[in-house]
Amino acid sequence: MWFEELPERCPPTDAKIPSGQEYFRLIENGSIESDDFISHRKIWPNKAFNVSECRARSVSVYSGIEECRAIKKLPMHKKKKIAKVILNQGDGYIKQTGQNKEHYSWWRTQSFNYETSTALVA
Amino acid sequence: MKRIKPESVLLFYDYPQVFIAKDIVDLKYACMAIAEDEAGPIYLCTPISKKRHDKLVTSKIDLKEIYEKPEVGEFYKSIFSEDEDSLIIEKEFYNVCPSDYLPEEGLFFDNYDEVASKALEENTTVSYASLSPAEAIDSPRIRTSKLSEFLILYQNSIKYLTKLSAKEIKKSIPKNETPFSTDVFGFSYGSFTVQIRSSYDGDLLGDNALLSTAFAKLNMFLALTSNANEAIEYLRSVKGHTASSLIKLLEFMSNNSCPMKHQWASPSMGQSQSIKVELPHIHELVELCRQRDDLTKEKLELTGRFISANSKTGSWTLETDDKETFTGTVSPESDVTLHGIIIEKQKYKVSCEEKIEVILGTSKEVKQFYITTQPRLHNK
Repeated sequence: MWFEELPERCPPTDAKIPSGQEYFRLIENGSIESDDFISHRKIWPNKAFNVSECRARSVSVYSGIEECRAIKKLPMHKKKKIAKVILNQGDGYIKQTGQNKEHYSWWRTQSFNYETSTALVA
Repeated sequence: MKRIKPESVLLFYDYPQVFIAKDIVDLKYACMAIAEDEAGPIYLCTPISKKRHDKLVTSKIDLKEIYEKPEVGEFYKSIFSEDEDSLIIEKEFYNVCPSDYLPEEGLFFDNYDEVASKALEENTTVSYASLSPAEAIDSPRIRTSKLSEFLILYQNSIKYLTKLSAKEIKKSIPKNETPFSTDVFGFSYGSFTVQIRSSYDGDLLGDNALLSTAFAKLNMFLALTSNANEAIEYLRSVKGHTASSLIKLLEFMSNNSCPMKHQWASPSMGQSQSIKVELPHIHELVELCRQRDDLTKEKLELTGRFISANSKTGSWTLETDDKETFTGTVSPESDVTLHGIIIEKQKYKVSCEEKIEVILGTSKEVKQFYITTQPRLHNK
């Protein structure tokens, strides 16, 4: 069911099932791929980034496009595109995490269809 | 090989993109992700002073200024070490940031949560109590006696809220353990802010669950102070020593005209929880509490033998079966008499009310016991 293997008690109990909300995420190239929605734990299995194992296996999305625009001010992200992602029931669980109120951790399911649920917006 | 440890994350996207770290001599570094390779993200770090750090985290300067006009012309490339929470840094040969690495203008940070960051840094539950007495209006200062009184009353409230939390989850706290114990680890601006942390390091999750629950309960109660009836209802539900300790904290704020902001976080929370109490609400609530003697009394049943009993003064001493000695008086509101009490030879069952007074200065607790109903013979 989960796109990536998750530890026990993950997602946390206060994570919510999305219901059609709009989120934003950076996309590596001009076209949206499945690999644009994987966690850092999947890319670097042995890296610890001072976050819990559960959060390490989530994908960051923002509820506002301006937050993605802010990240694009960093030199390594400036060429990336911004995609709108509509998350529906069945696409996983989502939880606001971190100090930025618009940052969400998303635990993706296998049934999430990036081809029908996303669109490039900037 | 030099190492730095992340202290606070300013921008998180899949992993920390911009963060503040410090080395073993507490020198701070601003770090920004500049590339990724098969080993992970690569960061460019530059040392920053406390003053500049404060400007960065409060949106007074943007990230570009940090790298474009570094305080010292030193730059380090850095990667997260494997399975550890620190980074290895290596000095670069340049003393001006390469233009390819410069962030664009206008990347400001205003989501910095100092309390949540401190919880991560200290790896335990922390709280900030910001007091606003009259003397703190123009500068961050407070009378020594006032601060000492606050700390004793605050610690006492946390102790009873911790015990209440343990009781609610049916967990007993062993006599030699004090999960409610806190240490002051600093003071900072913002009225007069006392920085408090658990006396103990957190568990594997960096948490001290009982203390965290006690802080959450304190904030919940302080939030209720804006509605006197709800606050009284809460005090009535917890009653006894817990209610008494919370009322004393309110009395401190009322008597010293000292409103308070209380903020706390554990390392796993990510962000702090904060509550600010307003003085007019506190004055009103304290007045109501003064009319409610029933809130602070703790009922107690003792079984044992009287060692002494004075029918004239009403004073008595009783030793229980497990050799614990209790001393007190007859409740002035009762008709209880100690006349005819049999000393030592007869066992009694006694209903008491217990009141605890905290001696300010030593923070010692004096327990006072009042017999409320006539002692019953106990022949088992």
